[in-house]
Amino acid sequence: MKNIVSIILLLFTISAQGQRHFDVSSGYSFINPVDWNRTISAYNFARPWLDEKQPELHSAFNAGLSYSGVISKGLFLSPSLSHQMFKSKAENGNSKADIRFRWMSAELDLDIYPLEFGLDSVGFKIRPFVRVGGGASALLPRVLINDSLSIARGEVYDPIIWTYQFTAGLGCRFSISPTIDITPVFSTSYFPSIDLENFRYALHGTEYPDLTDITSVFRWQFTVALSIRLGSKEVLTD
Amino acid sequence: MQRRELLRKLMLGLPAGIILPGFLASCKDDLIPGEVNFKGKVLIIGAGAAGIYAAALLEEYNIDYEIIEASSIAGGRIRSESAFSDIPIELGAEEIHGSRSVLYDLAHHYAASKIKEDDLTDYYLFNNQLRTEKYLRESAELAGEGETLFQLLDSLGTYPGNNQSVSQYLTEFPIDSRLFDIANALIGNDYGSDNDRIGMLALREAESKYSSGDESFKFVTGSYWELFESAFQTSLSKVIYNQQVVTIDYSGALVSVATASGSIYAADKIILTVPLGVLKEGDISFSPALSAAKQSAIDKIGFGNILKIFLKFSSRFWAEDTSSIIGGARVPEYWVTHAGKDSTEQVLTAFVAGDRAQYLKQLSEADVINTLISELNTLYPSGGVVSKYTGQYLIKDWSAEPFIKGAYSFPGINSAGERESLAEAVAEKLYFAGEASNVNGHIGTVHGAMESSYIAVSQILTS
Repeated sequence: MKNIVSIILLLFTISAQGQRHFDVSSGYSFINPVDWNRTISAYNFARPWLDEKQPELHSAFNAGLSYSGVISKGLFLSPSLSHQMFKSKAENGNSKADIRFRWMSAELDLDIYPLEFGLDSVGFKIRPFVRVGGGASALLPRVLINDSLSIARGEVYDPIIWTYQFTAGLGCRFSISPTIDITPVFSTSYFPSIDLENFRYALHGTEYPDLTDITSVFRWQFTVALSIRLGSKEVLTD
Repeated sequence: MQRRELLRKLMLGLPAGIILPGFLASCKDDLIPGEVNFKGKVLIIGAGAAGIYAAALLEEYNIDYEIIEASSIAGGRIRSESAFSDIPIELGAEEIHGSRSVLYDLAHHYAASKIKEDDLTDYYLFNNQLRTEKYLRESAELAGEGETLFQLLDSLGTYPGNNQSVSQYLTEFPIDSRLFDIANALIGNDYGSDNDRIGMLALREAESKYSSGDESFKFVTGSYWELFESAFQTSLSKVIYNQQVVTIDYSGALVSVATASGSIYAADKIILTVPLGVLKEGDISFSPALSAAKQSAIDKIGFGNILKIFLKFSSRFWAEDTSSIIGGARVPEYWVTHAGKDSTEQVLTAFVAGDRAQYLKQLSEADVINTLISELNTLYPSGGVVSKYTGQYLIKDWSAEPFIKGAYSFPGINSAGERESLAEAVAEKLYFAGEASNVNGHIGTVHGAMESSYIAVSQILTS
């Protein structure tokens, strides 16, 4: 983690001279981790007495911070930090199960701005861009059974899972004033082979055939960022 | 690109980005991994915990099934007796082992207020004195040998050696021989046998896989089977009683099952949940015969003989915080039957397995009771054991049950790896379930039986 922070600070320094902006973003994330959700489905199947079934893990709101600095004409380097919490909760009388996946990502993206247009007279600019990048994530899966952290193979299940991701996306920066941008971004990140380390034990207390803790995940995100632009130069004329 | 055109494309693209995840989420999988294609009929043999739970799982997919039981009652090795005391006493399964199991979740759902963790004190008989674990671990009298024993107990799952009995293994350590009865109570007797008959490799297999937690829960009101009656009423209503299976013919497209009463049942798949003791005795003949590997597993996995003897006293002579009294020469473990329960009566349960059970079985009931009262009198010389004994007792011998023939399976000396063979389905027609076929280390437990049913039903549904 220290290395990741160091890299981000280094990049911040490198690109601190040209046009740059700080973004505060929020939005919606979606995942479909098939094998983890099978573990949840199997939990439901094994407990036919549950009226309210345990939902699968799919969606979460996200929040993030990023910094973008120009490195060349139309090219911005954008380190970012984001956070989201995927939840699956069901209450059935005395029985409660609450699955929480806190997902924190550090990422370094390259934003490519091929064009810009707008009304110079009123300072309104539109700058579509393509995003490619990747980074590292920390995943903190937790299973609370009846309000207590679950035990998996004799240990409290509270791992920190480190993983990495590749990201691609499309966005558009709307400059609504000389210093403020609104930036919607649609992106997807691919996380290869995340091993949740005994998630199935945390939920089931045992091992069943064909359930696995390891799965690859696509995370789809739609975010809208509020940006403060620090440089005065235009994106494509820097 | 014109601004208006770009805005129009963005307006179309962004909603698509929002809708796509919802579309993906709608592509839900079935409850179990794999595609469920099975539409045939299942016959469940045995209406104990494994059979009843298997039926409940099949109901989730509306699978046509029948469930037959050899005896006139359901429950198998879960059975209580209400006439002996003011609250039911458990003749068979008594505890819920661990809080991380489907059984604990079931109990917590239906009977959270009726179960309680056993947090009382175990007392150990050492040198004719009842001692706590702390004393055994720390006493100068034992010079660390008690600590060695408990460390050894904690590390059975990582045993590094070759196959040998627990008794042989214990001789490798500088452990006072006066601790051997305690070791037998905590290992051999607990597993339903003796340390002489428990194999270290099979024991390591069980201990290393065990994952349900170390806590122990008892029913403070009600009984074990009431829980199943509450949860699985539909399954129980379908049980056909007094159907002792004698032959299973799986040579044809359908499996044909014949009972001693002359009934014939046919189904696409069979879930066989009869106790291992029934298979060992060869009470069911299979056509074609079971494979050599399957028969070897049946032969090698141990099946314990256990006596539970209940003694009622007019008042307590044991310490109030007593959970169990461990390490007797005749009775490896007594426990306070009503400890923590809503009862005013004082009952002790003697839990005797293996050779010690065999020895007691040879005696008359009067001599059995005299033996136990004599041992308790030695343990509590000033407790007035004899005068407090009410003369009321109950002896439950599970080996005498004609359709059960014992208590539960144990890790026999040459049985490492055999559980997988026992659990393996035959010709995609015969599926084995029950505590003995549990491959996750939860052998000899009710939740182990339920887990094996889950696996059998999953295999059937995806077959």
